[in-house]
Order: sequence, then C-alpha cells, then structure tokens
Amino acid sequence: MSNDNIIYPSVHSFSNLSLSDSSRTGFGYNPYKGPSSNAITPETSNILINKKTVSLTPTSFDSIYDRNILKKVPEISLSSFSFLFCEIVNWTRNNSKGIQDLEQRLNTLGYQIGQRFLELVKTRERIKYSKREIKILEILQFIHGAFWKSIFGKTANELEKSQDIENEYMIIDDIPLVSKFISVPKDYGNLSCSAFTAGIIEGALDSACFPATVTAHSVPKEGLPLRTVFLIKFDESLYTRENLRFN
Amino acid sequence: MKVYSCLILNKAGGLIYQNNVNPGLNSLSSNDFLVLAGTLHGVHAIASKIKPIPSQAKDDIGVTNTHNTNTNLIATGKSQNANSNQSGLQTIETDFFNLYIFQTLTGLKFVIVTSPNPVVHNLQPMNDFKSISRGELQKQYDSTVKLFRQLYLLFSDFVMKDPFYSLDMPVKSSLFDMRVKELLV
Amino acid sequence: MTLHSFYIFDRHCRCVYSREYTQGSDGGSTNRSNESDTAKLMFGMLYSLKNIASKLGDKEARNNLKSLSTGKFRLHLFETATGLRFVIVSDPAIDNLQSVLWELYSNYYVRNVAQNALSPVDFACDELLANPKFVSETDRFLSSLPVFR
Repeated sequence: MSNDNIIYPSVHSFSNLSLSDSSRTGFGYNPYKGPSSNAITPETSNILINKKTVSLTPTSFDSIYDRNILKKVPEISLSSFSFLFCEIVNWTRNNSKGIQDLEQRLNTLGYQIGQRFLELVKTRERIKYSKREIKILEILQFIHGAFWKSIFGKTANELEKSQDIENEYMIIDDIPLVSKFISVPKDYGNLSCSAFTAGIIEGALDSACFPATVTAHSVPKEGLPLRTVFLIKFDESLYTRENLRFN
Repeated sequence: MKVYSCLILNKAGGLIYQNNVNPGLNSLSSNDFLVLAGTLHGVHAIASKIKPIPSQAKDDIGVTNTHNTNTNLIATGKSQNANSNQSGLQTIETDFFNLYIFQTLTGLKFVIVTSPNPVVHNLQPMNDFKSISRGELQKQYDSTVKLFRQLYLLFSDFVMKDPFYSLDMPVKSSLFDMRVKELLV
Repeated sequence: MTLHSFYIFDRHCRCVYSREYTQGSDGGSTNRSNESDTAKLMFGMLYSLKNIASKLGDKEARNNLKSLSTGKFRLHLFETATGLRFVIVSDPAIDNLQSVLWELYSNYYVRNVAQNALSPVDFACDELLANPKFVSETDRFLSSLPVFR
C-alpha cells in the first residue's frame, strides 16, 4: 500500500517523525519515542551535566547554596511554580482520605515552608532594620506586609479583626497566587487549595512564638472569584501573655 | 465580527469544551455537538490529504513542512508558530456563519464560529469581474488568529495548571469559563 | 497560478466534469480525474461540511456552504437548486468566487448543456460532461479572469 492512500489521524505531524530525529544536544523529549527519550540514564546524565545547568548539589560552584543569601532572589516563573503546585495538589489528593485530610496535608506541607521562610525573610531584612515582633498586632502586620511581599511579590489586600470572637484575625487576599489558576470542582465542596498558604502562615507564626491555627476559606466577591480569607485563630495562652506583659 | 460559539477538541476528536458565547446559531443538543466535533475532526484529516493542485500532486504537500517543524522543535525546544494547522482544514465560510480551526502542536483543536463576512454576495451576473473582492476573509482570519492565541493562553493557564483537570477529559473549570466569556463576548 | 481546478458534481454525487489547469503548455487535463481519490474525498468533505452548515445555521432559511480553506488551497462551492455542485479550487488568498461560479452555471452550463437538446442533463453512470463548446467557453472565461494567474 503506497503512503499516499493512508489517511493519518490529524496528529499526522507525529507519525512523520522518525527515530533518527533527535535533538542536537542529544537529550530532549522525542514525541515519537515517548517517555524513554528523555529518561535519565548514565549516558544522558552526562549530557545533562555538560549543559551547565544550575545544579542543586553543593559540589558545583554555582549551586544555590553558594549564592549570597542576603541578595534579593530573582523572580521565579509563575508557570513553573503553578505546574509544580498542580502536581503537589494531585499527589496530596491521591494520598488523602477526604477533603479535610487533603486540606490538612497541604497545610502541613506549607507549615515547613513557613517555619524556614520566616528565618530567611528576617535575615534578608538585615539586623539593623529588623526587630523581633512581640505583639500580636505587630506580627500580623509583618505577615500581612513584608512577609507576604517577599513570598508573593505583593502585600495581602486586607487585615481585619473578627468582630465576634476575641482571638480571631483575618488576612484577605483577592487573588491568591498559589490557586490563581485552580478552579475547584463542585464535588469537592468548599475545599480551598490556599490551605497551603495557610500552612505557611501558621508555620511562620508558630516559629515566631505565636501559636495559632490558620485556615483558608474561599469567599468569592463580585468580580473577585478567587478571594480567599485566611482565618487566624490564636491560642488562648497568648492573651494571658500579652496581658501580663503589656498591661 | 461577532463570535457565536467556541469549541475545543482533544487530539482524538472528542469535544472537551463548548461554549455558546453569543446567540446566533441554532441551538443543538450536546450529543449533536459531539457529532459535529467528530465530523470536523475527520474532515480536517481528510483535507490535509487532498491534493487538488495538479502541478503539486506528486510531492507531499504539508508532510515535509510538518516534518521540518518537528525537527526544529526537537532541536531548539522552541516552537516557531503555535498554530500547527498548516495543511488541514482552516476556515469554512457559509451564509450564516464562518468557522475557523486552530491546531496546536499537541493536536488540540480550537474552533471558533463567528458571524459571516460583511461582503454582500449578490448572485446577479457581474459585468466587471475585476471587482472580485480579495482579502476580506483573510482579514477576518487574521483577527481570529489573535483570538486563538488568547484562547490558547487561557487554556494553558486555567486548564492545564488546574490540578483537578485530567488530560483529554471535558473541561469544567469555572475560571476558564469566565475568562473565555470575558474574551469573546 | 491561482486557479487550480474546476469540478462539477451532479446530484448523484458523481463528478461529471473535472478540469485541471497546469502551468505547462498543454493547459492541463479535462475529465482525467473524475474517479480519482481527490474528487471523491473532496465531495465527501463538502458533503459533511454542508451537513454541519445546515445544522448550525438558521432553521428557516437554507444555509449555503460557500467556501472552505486549508493552508494550501481554497475550495469555492456553489450549489444549484437542482443539486448540481460547482467547485473551484484556488489559491487560499482568493476570497470570493461566488459570482464566477454563478456565471459558470447561468451562462455556460445552462446555455451549453441545459439548453442543448443533444446533451444529457441527468448524466448516466458512465457519462461525463464532455461538450466541447462548454469546455472551450469555460476555459476562455476562466482564463480571462484577473485572478486566473
């Protein structure tokens, strides 16, 4: 049968690839071969190392550990972060037993980041500008302002105190960065992927000695479908401490 | 130009998204739309195989082209043109609507149905055939290409980066829905 | 060369006339590719798209498919009330040949075939439209168009 008589499916471009089509560097995804084309083998890993990518191993001289920690970090591509976060959510979802569990797991992942990031932000602020916040309002303003800005590149939109309950505060973000592209299906109820961000806040607050539980709630508003409220509930013991110290 | 409807087909020809943004088309059942998507997919494949140009009947129209595109893509990692729809069906023109097809390198198809051309077709015999209009369709095609780029952008943002979306399945993202309406209405 | 070929399909879905224009001195071929894959695929394509057009279009009025294009060529279609389909394949840059198709039908087909008592109007399954006057007149008409070359 001659080649002319075959009607290919419309992804005909792929069927015209041959095994000899390979990238000049010798590494790269070849749709004709599938996943095996960019699998890491001893040969391909050599190619990859020679491509002078930034290596995470501390042996190379330009690893991220060798950079000056006080320097402002370059911005990270939102796309690559989104794809990573997409995978994080998927992975967590596969491991979790339900919506509550999923939120809890995302929160836990964020918690560790918050703990470490607080340290980093404070270091970058340098000692002379920096001081340790010891009042609830001060730490909240720090989280809402400087901390938020160094993670998300902007400050959060609002900071409010709950009217009914004494120890509850709310940080409101109109367009939360981590869930900017995520729309939660109806059968997931009121799941909010910003639980991850809530975990970051909780981690930061906890390691600053302000024990609190933080939860994320999606509260859409006209024109702002992603508006998210981070509800911060401080531990009762904190109030005893504040009263003893400042009154 | 007014956009009546927008469809997205996966690489197997299944309808994964459909949105009637402006009224103007016959209302069809969702089953009819599935059939329509399948037909378009088939016709698109057939169109890329037709060689109606006698002088070029011998050489493979389009095949060498896509081959080059892919070799370039693999070598440089960069796509020169997001639209890989070079040899398949691109536009359909009828009395009541125009239909445009855009295909990505992965075989995803974006289809837009718009209002017909502003050209008035009178079927009266014309004495002056020099006035045959040129470029009106092409002009409209160019403006839909811009729309397609925007749509593709929205799709890669709000669908591909959504952890609750599984590949080649129908799109249910409400954010994507909203953005598409913003773009096309 | 911007007009590539000209086909007529009758209401029994057969290609009764095919005319291909080539750059060479022979001026192309007549009735050579009536049974070719190209003609058959082309008809199938037009048929499916016509279905889509009538489904999506207004219920009251008939929705005519006028043209379709790929990156390589554009097909112009005109369907008569009797079910004859006139098709011209051209360069994709050419927009609108509806008036030309109408002219081909009303002036040349009707005069040379329909009004010709010796020519069949409904072609039998092995008959083709090979009326020499029709062929030469349509050739002259099409090659006189500014879009022909």
